[in-house]
Amino acid sequence: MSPILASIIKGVAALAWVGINVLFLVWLERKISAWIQNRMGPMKTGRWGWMQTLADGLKCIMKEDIIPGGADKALFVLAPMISVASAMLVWIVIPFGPGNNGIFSDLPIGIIFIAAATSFSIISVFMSGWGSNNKYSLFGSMRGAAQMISYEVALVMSILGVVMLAGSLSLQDIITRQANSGLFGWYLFKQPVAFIIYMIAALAELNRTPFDLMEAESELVSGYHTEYSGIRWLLFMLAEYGHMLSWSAIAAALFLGGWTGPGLGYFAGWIPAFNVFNAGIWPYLTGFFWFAFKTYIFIFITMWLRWTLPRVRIDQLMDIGWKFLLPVSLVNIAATAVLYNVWGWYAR
Amino acid sequence: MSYWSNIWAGIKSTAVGLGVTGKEFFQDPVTEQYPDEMPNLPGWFRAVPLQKTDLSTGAYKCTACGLCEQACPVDTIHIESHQDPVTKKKFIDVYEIDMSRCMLCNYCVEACPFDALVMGNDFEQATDNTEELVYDFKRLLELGLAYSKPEEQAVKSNNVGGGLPDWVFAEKTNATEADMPADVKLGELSCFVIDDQRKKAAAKAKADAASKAAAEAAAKTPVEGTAQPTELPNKPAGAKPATVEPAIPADAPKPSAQAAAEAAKPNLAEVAADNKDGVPLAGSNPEKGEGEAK
Repeated sequence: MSPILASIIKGVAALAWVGINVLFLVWLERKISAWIQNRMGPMKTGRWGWMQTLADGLKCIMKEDIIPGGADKALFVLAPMISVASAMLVWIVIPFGPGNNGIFSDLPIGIIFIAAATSFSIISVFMSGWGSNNKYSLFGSMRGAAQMISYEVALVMSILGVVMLAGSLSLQDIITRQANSGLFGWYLFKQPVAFIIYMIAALAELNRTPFDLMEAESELVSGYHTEYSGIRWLLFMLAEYGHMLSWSAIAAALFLGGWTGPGLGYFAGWIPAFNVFNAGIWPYLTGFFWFAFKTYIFIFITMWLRWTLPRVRIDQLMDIGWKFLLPVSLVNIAATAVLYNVWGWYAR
Repeated sequence: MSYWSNIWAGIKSTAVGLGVTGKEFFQDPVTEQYPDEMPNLPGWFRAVPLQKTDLSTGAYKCTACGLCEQACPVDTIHIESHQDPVTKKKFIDVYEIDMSRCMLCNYCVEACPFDALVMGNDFEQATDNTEELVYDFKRLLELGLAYSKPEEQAVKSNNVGGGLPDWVFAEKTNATEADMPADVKLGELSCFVIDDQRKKAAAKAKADAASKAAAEAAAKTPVEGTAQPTELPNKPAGAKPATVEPAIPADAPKPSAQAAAEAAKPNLAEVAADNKDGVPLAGSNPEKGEGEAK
């Protein structure tokens, strides 16, 4: 297979994975919000409303393409595309299963790549806010830029502790290192502070409640995508939920051991026939199961938090980012460095 | 130190909030999927005033006393009735409730001393034709059947000392026409008739048995019809009378057969035709019936 063909297949697979999951996630978000509020959520479109997102997407696609009169057309059109591109790019370095076949491309600078690719969403937010020629859009994008830049610092700082322990920037290496460390080898146990900071900062990066200041619907109509409708708005939604999926997958890889977990082949020591499950496609299936399972744990927590906490104020947001998350993550890095050198189990 | 206490307060309030939403997450939804499944309505839900039927006899409980008509503050109820010239008991000719004017105040239900009215919760009564909103007696009885119970006697009012009677709260029994006595049609009998009807049926069965025995005796002896009482119809029990037959019990005051036959007017004739037990039905025109009785 030529490398170009393989790349095309992998790219299509990544797009399909994100697209299908976003369809499901939007439905899941509505269901979880409904269950938390003692409602039922969408029930009419298919059994338990499972086709609701498809119907909504179809409606959005068929809507008129509206570009406001005073808008900067180039920025307005480009912004949603860049937003989706940044959400999709991350999936290049996120491992689904073991080895080189379980990942689209195992870049040795995986973490740096993630930080770089997701930063593009800031640009898309500002492009859409500036290009819309709308004060609410501009307010939203100004807030969004300030928020995402300040939380990106804390986010990368929190990941640094994990990277120090693993000794690698590749996500595949980080995962195998956790699996090889035995019991409590997950960095959730070795880096609990980094885990909490990552969760908070990732919520802010995702612009989800309680940090959804840039699209605060009670203040700014819809923030940076106020002027968007139809398929462009759909692209923003795709990017938002694609980001949620990718941040959850990264959290699973960094702190919960990613795709590693016991499969049926684990029992081959007791039942010799189960040796089948250690070869062929089975390790990939097992890996994919654990990857998806752990990812959805984080997705559920994200949604749970969204329907629990109210939105913070902009000054509170900045306080949390600069006065709490950043110093604590710096202390965490120092503490990790000390523990790494004095505690054998910690460095293992 | 407010820095650390703020952080602690944030963690605590987040944990408490997650606990609350986590608890609600596992509770059953309060949503009622209305068009797919009917909502669970409480007994005090008022949607439409309906007429009850006594399921043990099949008689409507309304006595045409007119108290509901008087109680109605917006004049939605219209009653026309006639009186049996002999027994002085009243029968419904017209009982209409104009639902386009009804404001569901429940006064008619509270006024009724015979537990004949009930505020049903069948709220799907919308129509695009205002004439359909005038509910006639038959329709009120049909809808009210789902709130009817078998009772031997009409319940007398228990709100003598004030307060609401028990029956202002609707109790749905989901009865259908299958729960009615098979030989009675909906809206056919007044509750006052039932006792008389029972007595008549018993008397008639007795008389039939007697006449049968007499006929057998007559077949043996060639003298015809001498043992037969002239007032009673010579019919086998259970046979359907082709015309209105004045089956008069022995203890009832007897109008002349001609008056009774004349009293049966065409608009009640079909009801009477189905009336297997041959209840004496006075004329639909009360004045005329009274006049003839006199």
